[in-house]
Amino acid sequence: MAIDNRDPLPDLAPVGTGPRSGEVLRLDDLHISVHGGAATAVRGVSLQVRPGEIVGLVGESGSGKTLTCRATLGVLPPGCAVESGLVSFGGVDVTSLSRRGWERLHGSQMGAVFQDPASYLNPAIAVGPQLTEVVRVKLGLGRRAAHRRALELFEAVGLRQPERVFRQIPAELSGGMLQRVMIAIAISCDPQLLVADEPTTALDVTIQAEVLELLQRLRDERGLAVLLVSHDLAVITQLCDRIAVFYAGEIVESGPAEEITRRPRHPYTQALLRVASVGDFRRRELEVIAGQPPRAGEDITGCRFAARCPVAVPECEAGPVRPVPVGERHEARCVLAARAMVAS
Amino acid sequence: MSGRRPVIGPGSILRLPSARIAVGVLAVIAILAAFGSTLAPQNPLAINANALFQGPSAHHLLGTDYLGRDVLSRLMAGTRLSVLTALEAVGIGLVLGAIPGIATVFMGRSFDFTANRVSDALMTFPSIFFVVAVTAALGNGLVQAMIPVGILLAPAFFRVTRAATLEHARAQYVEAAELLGASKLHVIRVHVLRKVLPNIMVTTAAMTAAALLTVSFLTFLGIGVQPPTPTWGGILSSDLDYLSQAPWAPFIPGALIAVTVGALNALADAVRDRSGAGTLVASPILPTDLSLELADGDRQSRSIA
Amino acid sequence: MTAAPPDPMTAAPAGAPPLLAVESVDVTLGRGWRANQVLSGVDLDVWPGEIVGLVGETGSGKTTLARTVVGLVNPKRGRILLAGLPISALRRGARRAERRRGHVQLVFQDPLRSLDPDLTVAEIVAEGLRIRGQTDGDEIRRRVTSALEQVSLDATVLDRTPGQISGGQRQRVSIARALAVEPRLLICDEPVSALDASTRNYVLRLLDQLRTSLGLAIVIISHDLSSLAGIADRVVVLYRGRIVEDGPVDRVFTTPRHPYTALLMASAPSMRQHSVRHDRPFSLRQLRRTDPGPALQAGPGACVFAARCPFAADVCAVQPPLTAVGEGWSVACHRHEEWAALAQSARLGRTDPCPLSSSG
Repeated sequence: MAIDNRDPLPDLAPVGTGPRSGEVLRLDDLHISVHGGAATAVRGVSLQVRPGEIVGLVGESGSGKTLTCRATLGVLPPGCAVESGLVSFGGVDVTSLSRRGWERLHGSQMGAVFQDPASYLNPAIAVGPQLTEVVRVKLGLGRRAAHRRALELFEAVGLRQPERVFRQIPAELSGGMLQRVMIAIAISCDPQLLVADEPTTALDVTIQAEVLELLQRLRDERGLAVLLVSHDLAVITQLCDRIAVFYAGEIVESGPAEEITRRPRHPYTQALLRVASVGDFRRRELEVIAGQPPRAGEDITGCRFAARCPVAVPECEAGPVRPVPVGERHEARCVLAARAMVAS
Repeated sequence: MSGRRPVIGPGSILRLPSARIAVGVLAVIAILAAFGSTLAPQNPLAINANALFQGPSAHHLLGTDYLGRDVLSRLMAGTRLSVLTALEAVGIGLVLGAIPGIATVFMGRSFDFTANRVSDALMTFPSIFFVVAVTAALGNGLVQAMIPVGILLAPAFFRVTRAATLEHARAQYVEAAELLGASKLHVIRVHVLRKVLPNIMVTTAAMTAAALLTVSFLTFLGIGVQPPTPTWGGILSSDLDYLSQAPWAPFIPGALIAVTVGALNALADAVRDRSGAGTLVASPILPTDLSLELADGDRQSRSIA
Repeated sequence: MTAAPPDPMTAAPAGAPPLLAVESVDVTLGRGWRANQVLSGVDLDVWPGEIVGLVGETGSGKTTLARTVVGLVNPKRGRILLAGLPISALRRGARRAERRRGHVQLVFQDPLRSLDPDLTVAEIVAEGLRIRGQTDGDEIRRRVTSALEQVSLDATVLDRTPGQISGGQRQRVSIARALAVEPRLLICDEPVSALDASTRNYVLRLLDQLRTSLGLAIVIISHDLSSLAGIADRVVVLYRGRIVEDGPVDRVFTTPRHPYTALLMASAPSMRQHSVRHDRPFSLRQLRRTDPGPALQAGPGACVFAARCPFAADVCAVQPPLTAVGEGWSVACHRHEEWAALAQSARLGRTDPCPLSSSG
């Protein structure tokens, strides 16, 4: 039984006709549990993505950024579930959306690219037909129209010789080209949001630069909103308008990229910036952060970074720490940052 | 230095119920093989013309055969010959197959080529003719008959061991050992042997079953045994000769053979399950980092924590 | 049994040859129609106490170079010399004897694959000593503990297997195994790419300290320019099997003399265009080919980078040799004096409102 994606869901605005102001994606106080509810790996995550905004989620592995990203796509791994909180897309609550509902959203409202494009493509079929299949099912285009659209998209993502690429199977394409194909498929139905989970981690640095430029161009030309997840602070700071820093399942700081990189307010963000020394090519002392992050879901009273924090005070471990505003759309989950705001 | 992981814990295998049953059955068989003659209630060779083809009774738990001999005692006494000669064949097969199987991976291309061709050739031998020919040369005894059987089992050991060794011989920790100046013997002893042992164990269990069937078949044909020596296959054979008089009779030795073979296979399965040795075929030989360099300009593999 | 060659390390007079000399090495991998020339004409010298960064992307041949130096791959042409001794010519028994001396060690990229999962840390680190014939248990224990101390691991990991310790600890065990045989040259193939940023820096700092405390020479293969900049003295840039630039790291990274090096630098992600990039004299747009036409009709003898180079000219139909451009600095580019000026003038020729802040 084919899913007829042309009919709009009764409670969702049809593709392309909904208002493009307001938020594309909103997460409110999201809690995600893992291991069948045994531990809470993501706590109290809130963020917004506006149209045309590139928002970056950065953190070490295990920090919760990937789980959060999966929750926005409705593809949490088995054993993981949203315990509480809200996921809303285009103003509509999708937290408990059915699988059918998610299938309608995927492609038409939101697209996704992941780290290893080869494993998301059928290795036996040429990439062109894999893209036309999507537009034919989702947009109901005929064969020739779909073919034309595929070529347009391949060109839009910077693939030279789109006709040639159309006929090639994944094994004949390099990693960078495959990622471009994935991006083409992801934006083929003109979604509002593109979710990119470590899209360039497996690529050479020169190719990575090209793909990041592509994402920026797509945002500029199409008003595409992007949610980018990466452990590489350099990539995040280069591309994103807004950044959310994850640590041990929480967002410890979020705000405009420039603010965060110039005047980070959370000690973890500060430490991350020192360690990553983004764009610094001088001979220098390489920084480390002492200690280890807590295990996923570990119960800790107070700030989850306090054990490793160079400036922690007793109040940090006393009770839960809420995010406080420290600037224009800039929040930090830190007792000392809160104090500084009060003092100023 | 302590802390070394055991190759396969007996405990982990015995967790499977099928393995427990199999081990139980095989333990009984083993006891019979060792002490069958002394444990037998009657003299297996005692002929009693007055009690031919009797059914099961208190005196003869499994009845008597065409010469009035107690079937149960004959089966128990025959266990030793059948089982030990099967083990003899497996032992020969293991030594002739597994040792070259490991060595061939380290001895260079010509050795490997030759060994493979020898193994292939042996697999094409018509087994019965080979056995008959060898027993004709060496004398008609089960011990001699098992030698050619063992030789014919060797290719199975060779192929399995070689495949398992190949998978481990190209591992990076082997390269690291080579960089420290390790000899091939060191590599085999420290890194390879314990990893291919599960595969060898699985093959041994399976081949013992095959050898036992072969023993039964040979003794059924009368090769290698002199009457009145009891063997499982021999008993089966004579039972079939007198099928009209005692139609139930062949089921007993047949069942014994089948149960033993089944137990061996079940044990082999259990070991394979626990060790993943059987998944060998599915896993590709891991390429070294070289293969990453041969991809064209855009592909790179990096891993993140 | 061939006699072991004389140990070159025992008598090294002043003014001695470099610790490692790679001379005009060509390496081909694969056979027949699948043969692929992975390295061409590679020349490299490494001196004691140096940290040399080896940089390149996929297909550059950097891992193959590492494997060739340690003898896991044999060069088709050229040779590898260790303190003057041509180790690439050694075979079998002689090669094993030389390896047992432990002068060169390789730290592999993925410790999950390079550590035997069935052995304990103690057994792994002791392996080199055992291979040498060391049987004294106390002496082995002493040296294993010492090697682990040098990588800041304590005795608690001795009885653990690789699967029972963290990724950072595994990589340190891998280094400890190499250190246990007291090498003079350590080659590390992407030693930190599988680690998170903080652990990465920790391990790199460790290597730096070891260089100082043990007088080691270290070659670090990496794709991450930023972390290399922190500890390397020299950087060697590989492209498609050839060295295109070789020089002091601070000079090469700030004023690259080869267009590919400049492309790498410009591609590495950094803060956005808001901040002025002092270390980025060029933008990506300047360093990429914009000409949509076919690449320079490059025959097999052409410069390896010509097809991608925006400054390729007729002279680039011949592979340029490595030419000295400064103290310990050489570059393989016919136009190394002109292309920078060309890039600058191209940039100024555009209608850029503010040249300094233009992004790629």
